[in-house]
Amino acid sequence: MTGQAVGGVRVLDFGGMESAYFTRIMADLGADVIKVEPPTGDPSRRYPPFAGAQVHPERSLVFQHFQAHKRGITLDPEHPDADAILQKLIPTANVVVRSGGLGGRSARLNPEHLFAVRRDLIVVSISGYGEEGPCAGWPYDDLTVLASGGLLFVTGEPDRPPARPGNGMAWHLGSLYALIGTLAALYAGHPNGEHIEVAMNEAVAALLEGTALDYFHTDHVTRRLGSQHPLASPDALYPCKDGYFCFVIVRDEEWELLLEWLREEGVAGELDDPRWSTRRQRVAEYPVVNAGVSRLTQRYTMQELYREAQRRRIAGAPAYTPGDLLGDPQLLGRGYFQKVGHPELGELSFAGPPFRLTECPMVVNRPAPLLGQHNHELYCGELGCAPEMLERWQVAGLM
Amino acid sequence: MVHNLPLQGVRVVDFGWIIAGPFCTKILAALGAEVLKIEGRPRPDTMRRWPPFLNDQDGGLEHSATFNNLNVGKSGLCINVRHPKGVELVMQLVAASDVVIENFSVGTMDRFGLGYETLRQSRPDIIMISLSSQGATGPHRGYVSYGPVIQALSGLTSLGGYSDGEPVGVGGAVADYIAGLQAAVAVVAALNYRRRTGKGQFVDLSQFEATASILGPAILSAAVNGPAQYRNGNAVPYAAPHGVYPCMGEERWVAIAVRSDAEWKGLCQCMGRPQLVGEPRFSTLARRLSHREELDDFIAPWTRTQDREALVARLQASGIPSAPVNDARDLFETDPQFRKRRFYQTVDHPSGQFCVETVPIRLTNAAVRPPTPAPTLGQHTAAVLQGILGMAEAEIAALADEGVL
Repeated sequence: MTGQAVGGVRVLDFGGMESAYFTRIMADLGADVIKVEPPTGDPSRRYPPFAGAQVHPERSLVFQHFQAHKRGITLDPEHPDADAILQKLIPTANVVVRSGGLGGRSARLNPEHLFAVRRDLIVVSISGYGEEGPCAGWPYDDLTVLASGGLLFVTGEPDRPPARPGNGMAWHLGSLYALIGTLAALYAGHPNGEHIEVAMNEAVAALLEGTALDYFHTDHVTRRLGSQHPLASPDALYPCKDGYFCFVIVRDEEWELLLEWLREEGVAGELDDPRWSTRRQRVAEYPVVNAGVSRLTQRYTMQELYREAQRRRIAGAPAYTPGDLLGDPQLLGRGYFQKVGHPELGELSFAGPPFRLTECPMVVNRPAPLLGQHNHELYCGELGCAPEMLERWQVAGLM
Repeated sequence: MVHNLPLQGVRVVDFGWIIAGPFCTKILAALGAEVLKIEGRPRPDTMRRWPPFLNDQDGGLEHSATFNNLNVGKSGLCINVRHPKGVELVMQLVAASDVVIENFSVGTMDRFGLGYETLRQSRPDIIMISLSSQGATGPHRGYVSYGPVIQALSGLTSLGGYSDGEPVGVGGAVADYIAGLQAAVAVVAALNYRRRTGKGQFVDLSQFEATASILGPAILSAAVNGPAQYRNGNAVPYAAPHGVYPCMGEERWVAIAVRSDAEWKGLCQCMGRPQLVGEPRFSTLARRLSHREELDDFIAPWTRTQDREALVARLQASGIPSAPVNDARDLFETDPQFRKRRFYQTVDHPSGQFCVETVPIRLTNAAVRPPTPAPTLGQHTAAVLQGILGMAEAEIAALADEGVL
């Protein structure tokens, strides 16, 4: 389709959570993505939350979100009869994704085997630690990769154990680098094939900002500070009437703007003194600064603070919950949310695209597949397998 | 056989500054793109003054390890776009380039006379990507923010922390890094589109949207089920035990994730408590989830007596997903995997040796370009103007005298 960024590209996704976001975005960019699930269904079909709290493999919102826009087939690549199927299926794809899900364990899906079937494939391997090195075979999950990558240690409150970011950050980071590598390989052409490998712990480590550099250059080990930023103040979350509000003041001129507001509210207190006018001083005594700013924020709601802060050209915004996003005027004004109909769940409101390609907008035009929904279409319709064979294979646990 | 890097031949005019734009072009450069980083001499990239500094030298423009890390692999030019001849130079560079990237506040490039429609006159198929806090359109497009503000706005901050504590979020400017990553995706996607259709385009990237797009199913869940409890520490609904446990020593933690009955059995054996396997209240995932605090009460006292690295080795040998919660020192001194894969490298810069984080994309048929140091201010102006625009030395000197460079 000329209307989309990526056209005429088929992606076979044998991966698990590692590749879920990667191939979702590939589908939204126009690729024909086929999610290959074990015959019993992808494990994430059992992950809460479920729509309406009804536990059912077609109602997991984790599965619905990450697997939207993909077609779905079932296959057990370890099954004795899988080889013949893979020999027919793999050549139809341009990109084959393997990870710790189906792909990682299966010898039939290792890169040498795949390239032998189709020489110009792009094979994408996403795993916790990469394909070589002492930790290459380690089992992993989002939490343990965040731990390995150094991000978990610096996340959370100072006096409590580290607390993971709640979005599956490691899954997303690995997927983002896989996306970039794959799109680059597609752009360049890959007549001799290309093997793209992403180690999620490295993807995590690349998000540490100055933490690793700080150790290397100054021997300083960064600790957890909660929402407080180590290098600026005010730069934290402040409780307000209906939640939390975030202010970030970096330059001294910005402090003067906030101080003016505090004065007008009659809550400046000890902060109304020239000694607070430098960032160094404010950072050194950030609890005092934070206490002062809280005296302002606890008087108002998130939206009241947001309007007034921006009117005064102060960098501040509510700490929205995901539900709050649904009512944000900027997101609504830009038509951010995408609606897709699902046969059983009705109309679903998804997060929108991460960026706007004005010539070839990303669209989601189908929901996540039902289990095995496209088996017939693909195995019979495209690969020419007889419907009776499909039935037999399903009984035998191949599909 | 090593082939060319995939973005070989792609040229980027890079107005990115601070984090988001530079992080994007760092990745493009590692994949082979030629990145021309444009700074103004009176207003160089603010990151140049951001710590940590080499030899603790706070001052000058060439000592920031963070700036260097974000700007490896690029050529650096000084062009004054407030001077009409500076604008003219940029237009000539654009005519010879594929991509323009910027992360100024909305309207800035238009004010310079370098908006998308103008750039198209120099190069009809130019790809221009603008990164802004909340997007190029919409009622809040003029709002001011920094990375942590956007993270809070995006909902990501609300997803981290404890249920009886405050939202914590992750890092400081994580939203800026996420925007840079998404921008790299967008640029390569747009390059694909151009290859097929011959058309460039304007790409509008809102950091707010780019970050909201990595919340996982939280938005869908809010739309379908209404509000939920968002901050649950390290508890997840698909695994138990699942958390961070203290080991011997100060701030030594281990992360453990047990998803299946098989992994639970392995953990019980590791703990030397095989009888727990048969314990009814832990016998299924559903039961382990509802008794997760009791599980943690078995595990933490045990891990507290263990040396962390030895513990992880035993857990891994039993097939249990686990890892040390590495601090910055561990990443360099203790962890064997980062070292083996040479994730951290050093580059030689006129100011000294900087530590650099490499870009974690491996290509088997092309070696990702090893990092070269970030440019000193205006380091490559003359070389680029000569090399790409064919300008003579005298011409360049004259422009410098006029305050254009």
